[in-house]
Amino acid sequence: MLEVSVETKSFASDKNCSKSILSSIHFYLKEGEVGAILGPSGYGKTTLMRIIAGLDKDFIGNVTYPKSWRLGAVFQEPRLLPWRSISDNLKISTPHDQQEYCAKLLDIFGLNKHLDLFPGQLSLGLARRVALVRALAIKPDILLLDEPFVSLDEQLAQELRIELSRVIDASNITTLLVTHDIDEAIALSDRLYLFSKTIPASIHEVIDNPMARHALAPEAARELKEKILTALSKEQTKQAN
Amino acid sequence: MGRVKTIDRLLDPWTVILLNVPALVVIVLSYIWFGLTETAAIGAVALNKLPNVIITIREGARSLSQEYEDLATVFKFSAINRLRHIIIPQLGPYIAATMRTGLSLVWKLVLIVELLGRSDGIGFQINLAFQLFDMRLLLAYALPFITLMLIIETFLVQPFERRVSRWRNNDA
Repeated sequence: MLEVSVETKSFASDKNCSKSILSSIHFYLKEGEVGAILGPSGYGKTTLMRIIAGLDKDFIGNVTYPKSWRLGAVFQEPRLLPWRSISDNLKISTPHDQQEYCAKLLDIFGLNKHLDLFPGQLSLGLARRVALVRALAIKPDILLLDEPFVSLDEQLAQELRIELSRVIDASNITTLLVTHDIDEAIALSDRLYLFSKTIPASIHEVIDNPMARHALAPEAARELKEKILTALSKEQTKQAN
Repeated sequence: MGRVKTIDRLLDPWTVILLNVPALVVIVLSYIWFGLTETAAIGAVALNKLPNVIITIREGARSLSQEYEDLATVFKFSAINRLRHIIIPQLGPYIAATMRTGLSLVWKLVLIVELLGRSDGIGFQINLAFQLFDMRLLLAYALPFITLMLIIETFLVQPFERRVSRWRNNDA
């Protein structure tokens, strides 16, 4: 189980001043569960991801998960090493015993033809696929996805979501998705954590999604989206008052 | 240096001192301390060039991307992989720059070192040509020197530079 408990996260803003940007964020994800943090840009979602990934240790609280668990991450931008070919990019981060699995993933995500190219020669869509394969190839127990499909056309994003859902379910990966796209959060996650539009940000509502990663009936999907939108606007009205 | 502030603070003054000590002082001191030997000559040249190398590579180290460092941390790169795939490729242009400036500076220094304390070498011969006022001998020694530098630049430095920056020419 992944347990996240962030009491406060602050950044130094002035000489003796610090600005708190996250406060009282507590949630957990059971093995194989997918959670989505939904909220507007610029309210500390990526900072929370960095904390969970162990890249930011300057916060009050703790993040716990079994020591044997492996963590994979997809950053907001593909972040491939531009001076290494696609094939080398994958080889460097994938352990030797997972190379076969990596080849299988390359097949699933249709990347076999592009292995000899450099990242600069790829379109954004292809680069994002490589970043996904890189994170999945290490057979992670926890997968962190920070806006993994942002700025892709909807059709491609949809295709990638379907492929990703299959791999997550097949390998029972505990996943945390950060997104501002409500449809993406509904399509992928079992539970949605709505981030408040305040500074410091916190989780103001948790919504369960029993139909995650299955073809949601259009009516049910609309209802769920309505519910999320109502919760978000209720929060906004509260802020305004 | 360039990555750890404490090391920067400790070594910065020494780098500045070495950078500003006149080359001639280092050469003469080296000859006085270690005698008129080849080792003293090589040591003096190396000590003169060292601060320039340190400063160029330190600037490279300062500009290393935190994003790739984060990537290496998340994907648990080994120390060797971190050096080979993250640090050295980013330092490549700085290494090439220091190679180029270093080679030209070192050759010039070698001549002065030879002129001052050696009984052989091009520097010594140039000094001889100066004393004999022999222009032809002077130019004859300068010409192969320039040619050799051009050969090194064309066949060693430039191919290295092309290799370390070949990925830059591949934008989609």
